[in-house]
Amino acid sequence: MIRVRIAAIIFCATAVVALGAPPRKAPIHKKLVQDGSFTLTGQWTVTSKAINGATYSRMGNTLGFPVRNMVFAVDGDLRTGEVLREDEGPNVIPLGDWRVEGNYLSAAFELWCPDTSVACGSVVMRGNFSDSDTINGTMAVFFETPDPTTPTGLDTWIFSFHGVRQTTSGGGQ
Amino acid sequence: MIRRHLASIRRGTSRELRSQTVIAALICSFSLLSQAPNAFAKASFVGTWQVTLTFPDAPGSTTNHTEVITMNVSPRGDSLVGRMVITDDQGNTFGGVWRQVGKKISVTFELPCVAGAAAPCGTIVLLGKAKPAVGKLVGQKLIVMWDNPDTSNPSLFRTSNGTFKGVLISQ
Repeated sequence: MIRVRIAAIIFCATAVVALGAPPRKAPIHKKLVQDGSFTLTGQWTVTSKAINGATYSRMGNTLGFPVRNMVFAVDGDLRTGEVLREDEGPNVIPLGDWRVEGNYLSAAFELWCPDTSVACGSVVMRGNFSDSDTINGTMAVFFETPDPTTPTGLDTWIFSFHGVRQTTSGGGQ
Repeated sequence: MIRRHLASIRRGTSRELRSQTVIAALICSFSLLSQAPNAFAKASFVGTWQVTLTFPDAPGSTTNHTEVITMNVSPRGDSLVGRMVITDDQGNTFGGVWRQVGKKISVTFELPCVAGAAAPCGTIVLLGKAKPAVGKLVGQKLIVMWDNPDTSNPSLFRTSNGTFKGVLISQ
């Protein structure tokens, strides 16, 4: 009888503690799970064009519209990207990272800026796979030039892109 | 004559002593400078930093989310941009890229997210100053570009602003 009472007390105490514990706050984001449907891995040729004729940002900055060869790779937990800017020189390789969820892609790069008198910035590439070897979307450039009219306070410029996969192997860096 | 000779010897000795003192001082200064702390060296971002990020937990939210990440910033060699490995406080490991001009640094990375989750995902851009001499990373701007489309935003996606600061762990 005593053992039953002790067991009941322990059970009740455990239940009280478990029910009274504050709920675990859901994390804002969880471990990345790469969807197996599409992948950016490989080399892509990416062309770009202006949106609504906007060839410059509001503050006069631009990247122009060169054809970009991009290489995306997976290196363990890292998803690496690089832009082969042969038009600028053999050693000019802006670097980035990427993720894919379903047919949605996002990649972020730091611009290569040898001339410190020219505005530099970061580029975020967002788009979708129309098939496994074709991507379309927009790129947003956040130039490090103040623009108080934008929500971020940075001069922002967008353009559209179209990418076609050239190879499935990605060297990465 | 002997006095003049002695005086001459004393002057010569003094000059010699002064010269030796100056040379010794120069050698000593050079030695100290060569082992000088980072204050005399370029403010390199390379190293391990513990960085606290604070930004809204969702687009338009007034509730802030704070997380601590560890950035292992790799050398960039001759490149103008470099890579880093980031570990967050939930044990996720992912990559980031960085650029530095003087003390100014720019970092960008994709948030680690689970496919199909209700929680929004996004991209982070950090602008700040690296001050390794005093062990600090001074945050000037944190931008979250969420995955939520917004045609009224110049980036075509919803954005939020936040803050960050960092402490140098090792270099």
